[in-house]
Amino acid sequence: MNIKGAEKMTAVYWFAILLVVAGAIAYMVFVFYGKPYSVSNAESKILENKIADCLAGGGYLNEEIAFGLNNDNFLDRCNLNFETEDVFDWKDKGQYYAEVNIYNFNQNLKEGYAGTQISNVVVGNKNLVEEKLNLEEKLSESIRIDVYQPGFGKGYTSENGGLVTTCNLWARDFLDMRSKNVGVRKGVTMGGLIDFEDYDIRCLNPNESIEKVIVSTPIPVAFENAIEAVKSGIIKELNAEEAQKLANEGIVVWIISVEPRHEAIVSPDLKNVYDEKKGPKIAQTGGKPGIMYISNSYAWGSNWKDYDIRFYVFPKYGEKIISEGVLEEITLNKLNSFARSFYVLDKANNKYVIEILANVGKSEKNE
Amino acid sequence: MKKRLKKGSTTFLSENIIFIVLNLVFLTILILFLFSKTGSAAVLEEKYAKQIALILDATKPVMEISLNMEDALKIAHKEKFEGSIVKIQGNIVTVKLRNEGNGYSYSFFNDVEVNSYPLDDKNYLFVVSEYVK
Repeated sequence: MNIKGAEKMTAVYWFAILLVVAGAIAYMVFVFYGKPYSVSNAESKILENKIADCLAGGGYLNEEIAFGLNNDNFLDRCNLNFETEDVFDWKDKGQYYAEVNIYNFNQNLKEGYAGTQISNVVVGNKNLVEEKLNLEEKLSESIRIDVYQPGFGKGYTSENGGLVTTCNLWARDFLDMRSKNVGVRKGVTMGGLIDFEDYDIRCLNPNESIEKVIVSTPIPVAFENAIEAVKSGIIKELNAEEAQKLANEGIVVWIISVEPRHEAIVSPDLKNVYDEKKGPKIAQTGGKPGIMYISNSYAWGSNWKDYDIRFYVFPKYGEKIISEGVLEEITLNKLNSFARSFYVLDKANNKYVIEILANVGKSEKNE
Repeated sequence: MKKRLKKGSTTFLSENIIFIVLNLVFLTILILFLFSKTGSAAVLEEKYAKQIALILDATKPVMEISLNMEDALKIAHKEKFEGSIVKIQGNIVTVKLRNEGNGYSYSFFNDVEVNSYPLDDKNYLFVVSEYVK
């Protein structure tokens, strides 16, 4: 081929390349601009702020609105309208979710206890929170693979890092245990097991809030399942001292009382001082279904004193933790992004804690 | 005295010039295409509907918000759309910049009465009067 012929060939290739590049750019532009701009995260934050502004101002509780707040009057009192346009099935499914908890805070209570709940409002499409966290699937998965679980359902709670709530304490416990070279790979919340490998657990800042999804089981179901599990050898019954010892090693120990029927888990006792008069340390449910806290109480303490308590361990689960002995970064980041809680005062300077969880869906077809 | 170029050199030069010109034309078309996409009516309708909804979510009575919508107004003019480019019905904002289609609608959760007016040839005014009771 002579020089002229070669130049013509080069030019043809150049234009072929240009066409490919032009096609790729055009494709990218269509893909990019074909998708909607999603502003639902910004909306969630604004909604959260709007609810906070509605319930409190200048550090004081808006008593006229906050007292007597319920699911029926919440939208009206806070001037919210959760109607949406009728596209993408938005109108039928509902695209907003708001949850508000108000506690009458008593600082004399033991750590981990938020105080008496005076309001619990849940409005909108709860599936939005489930979808966002997508934890149900993870929980089911981890339970199926690793451990026999007496039973589980699902529930939500939002917790405040500044309040030293369960999650906070659990995070501290786990981190402390990690520093003591105890292998903690997984953890149990009340009524359910969470594979902590998937989450970013860390100690929270005082002003930082955390949202936590937990599971909760109808207690009779859990109890019956536990009895069945013992019979079939899936779980093993322990005495109190063994229970605390295993819990300190990061192994999940389940506590179930026969009558009245309650369920809890043994909390790691970081001071490692077992007192047979007190029994194992308990992490148990709080004042309403779904809220849990490390009560700082003990098996033979006031809450569980008169109960017929049994301790169970899941051997397979325990063995796995001990044999692996691997310390992994335990994280709860995914649970951390969209709950908010803060303190306010009323006119008589009583202290309250407000927890707000808001989420906006509005997922468009091609998002 | 000018030195005459040989025939082969002339061909080589003209081919390169044509090649460069075609490249420039290609790039110009590409840039024009990109700009036309970013400023298209459909994109602006969605952008402004959502922007206005977010603004209204964060407002309280009695606020007046002026929003620069110059590019949207230009597009509406270019598309020969003569209606109101922003409509607020209940808690739904609709922005429509062309005769085809229904525009883009987006809801806001703040339960307020809002009226919108063109302030001048660039800005739109949103007046949040009171809470809907």
